Amino acid sequence: MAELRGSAFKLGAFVLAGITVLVVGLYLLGSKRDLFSRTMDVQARFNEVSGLRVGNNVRYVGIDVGTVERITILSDTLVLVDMMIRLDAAEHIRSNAIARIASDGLMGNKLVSIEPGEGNGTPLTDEMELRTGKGLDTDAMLRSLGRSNDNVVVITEELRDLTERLNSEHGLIRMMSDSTLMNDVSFVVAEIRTAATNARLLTERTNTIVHDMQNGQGALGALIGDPVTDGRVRDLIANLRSVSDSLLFVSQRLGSFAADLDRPGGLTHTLTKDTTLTRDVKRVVSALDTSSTLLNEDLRALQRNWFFRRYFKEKAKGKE
Amino acid sequence: MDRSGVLLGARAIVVEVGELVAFTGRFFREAFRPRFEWRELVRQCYLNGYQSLPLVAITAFIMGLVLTVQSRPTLARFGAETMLPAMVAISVVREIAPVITALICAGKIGSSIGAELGSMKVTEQIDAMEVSGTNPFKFLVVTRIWSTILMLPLLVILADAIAIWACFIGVNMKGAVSWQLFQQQVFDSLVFSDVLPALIKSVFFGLAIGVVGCYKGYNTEKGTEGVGRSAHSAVVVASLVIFILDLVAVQVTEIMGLN
Repeated sequence: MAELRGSAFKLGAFVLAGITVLVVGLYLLGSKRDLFSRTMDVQARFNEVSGLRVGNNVRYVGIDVGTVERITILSDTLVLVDMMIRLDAAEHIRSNAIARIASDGLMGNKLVSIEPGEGNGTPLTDEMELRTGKGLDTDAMLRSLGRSNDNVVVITEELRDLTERLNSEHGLIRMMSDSTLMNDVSFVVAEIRTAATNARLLTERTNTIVHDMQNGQGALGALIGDPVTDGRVRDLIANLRSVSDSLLFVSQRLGSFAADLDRPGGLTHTLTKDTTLTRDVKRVVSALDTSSTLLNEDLRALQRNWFFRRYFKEKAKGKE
Repeated sequence: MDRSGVLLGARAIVVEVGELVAFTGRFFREAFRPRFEWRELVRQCYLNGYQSLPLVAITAFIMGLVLTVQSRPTLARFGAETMLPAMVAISVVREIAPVITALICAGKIGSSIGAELGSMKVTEQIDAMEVSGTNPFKFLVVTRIWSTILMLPLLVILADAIAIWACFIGVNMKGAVSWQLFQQQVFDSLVFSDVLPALIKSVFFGLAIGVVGCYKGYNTEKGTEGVGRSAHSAVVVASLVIFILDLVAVQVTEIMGLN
């Protein structure tokens, strides 16, 4: 009998232990699903829920405050999500809060993330509908990542080409490793630096001169600023304008004269363009040449003539 | 084996399945009908439940610890070591604890029931009980099957708890996780649809162990040699039925959307 009673005790302890573990486990599971806490129903309408399921968590500012109770399709572009939110958390949520579909980590379960809205809102009440916002779209992220990858491939290939070209026989890197060239480059850079310094000094001095001129300082400033000189310069410019007009008149007359000369029948035109006259002139010149030769002969003959011989002898003695 | 041998073997299997189903039907007919053998039921619960606890506890502890230690490098490769408690908890609660506990009980309880009833059968104690006016089926079979049906879920629950505790130890062997955080991670990952199908499944496992053990023992033939064969075949058939039931349970939970 005592043995039976001992067995019954052990069996009772065993059964109680099992039931206790079961009850505690179920309680902990239930408390995680807000089965034993006072809750409030809140709704939100989404265009799409990205795989959200009944039982997924609802988070407010990163804290689990409830679960998704029901998901109802209202139309082809509208899904109603009923959420169960613990009362102790709901009193901190305002009516202007925004619900979004989010994800628990990159590969985790979907959840509804509630974030505080801007400005002040009224306290949340039962069956209130929250505004919704667009959540992080993992598919869009992956599509964007795909495009980025394509770009990276292109950039990498171009970088490879660039590197190959830089590293080629006549590339920049080879040139950079040439010490003579580097010395030349250093020299050129030093020269450029000196030139830049000089240019800077020149600019400064020019600025100073211009400044002085504007203020009437220095010879040029005085010249520019002197009213007498200004008047003379104006007179000079007026005279120049008059001379210019005269020159223009003269040049016009000359032009007209030249045009007259060049007109058919004119002197120049006749001399340059009339071929008959040219032939006549050539013939006259030729005749003159012949006449001149004959006259020379006549004159030499005349010198030997006895009548004029005495004259030429006296002339020769006079020269001596 | 020639064709006639195969046919005979197949026929024998079909006959055995039919007799097993008939035996189960007889159990359900007798199970809810007075008079109930409460004292014998308590004794069987003590023998099949309480006395199986040490074996189940050691097995669950080792399974929880080994699963944690073995899973850690794989999860560490993905930087997901923090998911270790959740992964082990789900594995243990949904599958490992019910199946391993059922197999342990199939070995221990199934063989003991088969051998005990088999020896009673060959020594004609069952016949003597019938002659004395006692319903041997109600006294021997119904109480044993009820005890396995009731005790196996309890053993599974305790195995769950012990395996999860072993997981906590395993997690802290190469890290530092507080019990509070560990418990949060475990119960965050678990849902009712993990626990309840496993418990329902373990009820059917208990039924299978009790029915097969009692059937094999109740139908023992050929003397003491038959007793050994009954004990042996009770373990083999019960284990096979457990796996078949587990397969069916997986399909049912899949269809019901509980996976």
